[in-house]
Amino acid sequence: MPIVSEADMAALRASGQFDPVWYAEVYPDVALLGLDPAEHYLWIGRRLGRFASARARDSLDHGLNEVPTQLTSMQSKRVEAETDVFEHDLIEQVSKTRLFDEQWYSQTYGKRSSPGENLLEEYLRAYAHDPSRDAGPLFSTLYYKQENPDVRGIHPLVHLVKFGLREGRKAFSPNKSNEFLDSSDQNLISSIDSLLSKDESILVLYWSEGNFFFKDIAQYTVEYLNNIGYSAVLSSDSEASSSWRGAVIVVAPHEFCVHGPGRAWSTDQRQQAIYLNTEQWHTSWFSLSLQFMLESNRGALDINPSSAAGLARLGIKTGFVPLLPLAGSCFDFPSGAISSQITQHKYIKPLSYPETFTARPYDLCFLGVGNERRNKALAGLATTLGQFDSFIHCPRLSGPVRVGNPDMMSSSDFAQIARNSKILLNIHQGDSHYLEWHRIFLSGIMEGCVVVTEPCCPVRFIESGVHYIEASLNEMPALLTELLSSSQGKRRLDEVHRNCLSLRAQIDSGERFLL
Amino acid sequence: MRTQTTDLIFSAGSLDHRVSVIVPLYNYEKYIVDTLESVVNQSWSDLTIIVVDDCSRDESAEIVKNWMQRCAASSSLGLFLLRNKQNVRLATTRNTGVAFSQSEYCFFLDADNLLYPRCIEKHVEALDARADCPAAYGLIEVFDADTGIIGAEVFDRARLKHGNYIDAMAIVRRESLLALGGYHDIRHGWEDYDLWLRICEHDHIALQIPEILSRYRVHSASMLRTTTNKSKNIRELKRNMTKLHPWLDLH
Repeated sequence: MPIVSEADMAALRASGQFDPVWYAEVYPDVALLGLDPAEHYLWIGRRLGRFASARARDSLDHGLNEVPTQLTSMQSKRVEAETDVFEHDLIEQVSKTRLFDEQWYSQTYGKRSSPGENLLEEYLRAYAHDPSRDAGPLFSTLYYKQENPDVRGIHPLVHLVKFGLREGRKAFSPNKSNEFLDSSDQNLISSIDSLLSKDESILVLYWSEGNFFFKDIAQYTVEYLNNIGYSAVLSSDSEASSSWRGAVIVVAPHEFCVHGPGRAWSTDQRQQAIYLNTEQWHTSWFSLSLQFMLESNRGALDINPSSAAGLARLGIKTGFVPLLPLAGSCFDFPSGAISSQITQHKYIKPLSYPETFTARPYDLCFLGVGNERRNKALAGLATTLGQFDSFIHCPRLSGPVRVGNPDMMSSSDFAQIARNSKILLNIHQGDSHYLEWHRIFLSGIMEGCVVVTEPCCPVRFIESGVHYIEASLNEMPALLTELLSSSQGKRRLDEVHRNCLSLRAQIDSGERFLL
Repeated sequence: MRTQTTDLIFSAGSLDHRVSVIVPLYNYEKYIVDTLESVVNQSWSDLTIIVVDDCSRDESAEIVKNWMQRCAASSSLGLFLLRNKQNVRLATTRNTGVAFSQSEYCFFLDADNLLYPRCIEKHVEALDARADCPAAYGLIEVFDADTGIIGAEVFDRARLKHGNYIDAMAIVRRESLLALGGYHDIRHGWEDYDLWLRICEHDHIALQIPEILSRYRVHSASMLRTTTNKSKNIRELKRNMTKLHPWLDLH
């Protein structure tokens, strides 16, 4: 008596997707066991990740046979039988990303794992009849499919893991990213001590042809680590890493490992590195970075605490590198002239660096790369901005921003403008509420500027309403007018400004972050 | 500089102001009053408005004349309405205004666009601070049928090589403009791009003012949406511009 039903075997044979001759030839144990090829495939072959035909193997099938979409005339039970084909390695590969959250899935869809089938397999298989099911609180199956309409005949999550991250596909919706980061416990962030040893030398790498800002972050990382007792050096020379006896930190892996020297790294080199993420979760740059962070045996660093917590929640040991105006670091900017590259092309009001906050020459400033969303937001604020003295820097840029680009604004120049502005306006790059630590904290709060921002994912070191002010884009015109024009608003501005100064004093004294 | 013979339809006040706002007018009866009101509401008052009607076929000129008559009673601005003897398009119409102006600075305002109240003041402040710059431009809010910002990038020869991104709504030293021969009449448009390119070729730049100071209306009747943007015309424009400025790379 066959192990599986005659009907199922007949359905498989009739599907046209199964080649019994090829199967028996490629997998000789089938004949040794005395089983019909279809019987073997349905009983155990599919669970071993075996291919149903040469065509399935050649198309690689990405772990999910084309069968489900082509067996539409068959009964759903038989469709299910065919969809239940996943390579063991693939399941493991998907599992490792932690994008499938078993507990969340179980609670959300009321499913329980059963003998011989884990919930991840159930989720993947269920796609054929319910493509709306999500893998967890972060990965939206439908969003990925919508963002990547060319993904067909393969489960979106499987595609992401096998191809999407490597190809820099946008993986996570802004809304899901917001919720995920908002709900990630920032106590999960690892200490630097647990990632690095004070006994080892640390090499911090960046791509010399990349975005100027990542070089700044790499430089700062070296200074920060040395400041807290480690021994770190900076390099853009990948050769240095091959003979390096110590820890290697790669800043902005989406550049270094994708376009820079890291492309030539061996698996071992990639696994040994610690990756410092600089990117927001809804972007393609983050996807590119994530593949390396997942591959690392040592973990990751992030310049944003909620992002660091999110990575930790994905099982990546992650520390937080706070960008601070540390004395003597590359983010410690003395007051001075704006670079001639900027003053040559832009009209800048005389910067007076007044002691009195209200005497700052610019009422508000905005500095960020222009894109459609930001430009529409600024256009919506234009009538309000037109009433005040503002500094708006929102050029559209393409490719890495390098020194010499006349639209590049260095962190030092940014600091000079912020130091002479009452309000720093923050408009998110996309629909994510990711808190742009560099802009909000380093350039805004640390310069005594009152940051008025779209709502942000909270971070534990600063507090909305105390160190910065949140408002939706619709609320901003009235808020800005109130803050800059009414006596009540000016008092509020002054209060937040004082809170910023107080926080800055704590940092300058080493009381915060450096313990 | 190519100009057009005109009739003086209306005049009030003096030409002796530091800034002339030059408004070329063609069939914009629906928008011209709002445009002129935005000039009257400027924080900078040392200015003359010169409207040059390019033989509009609608009531634009009459509307401006009536508006100027009303305005003259309560304003110290110079107010002038000229009408071209024949339709000569945008470049020559602007030049005609420049030739008529006696101001140190000319600000170019199309008849359907608007200024924020401190626009002229800020432009004057910038040019006053930079004697080496023949022109200055601010950021512009795009409104009506579209929304966005233009003019957010600084004046850069390497970027201009591949196309224009700076609108004509800018302030220019009259003396510099005259030395450059004014705007050149380019078939299908792009006369503003041509001016920026000639400024590049003289090793000068237009200074960017990092503030949103004016509003650019996008609507179906706008010239940018009709004449200039037809793909056949664009191909011809690219060819012609590359002939005039062989260093361009307009692909």
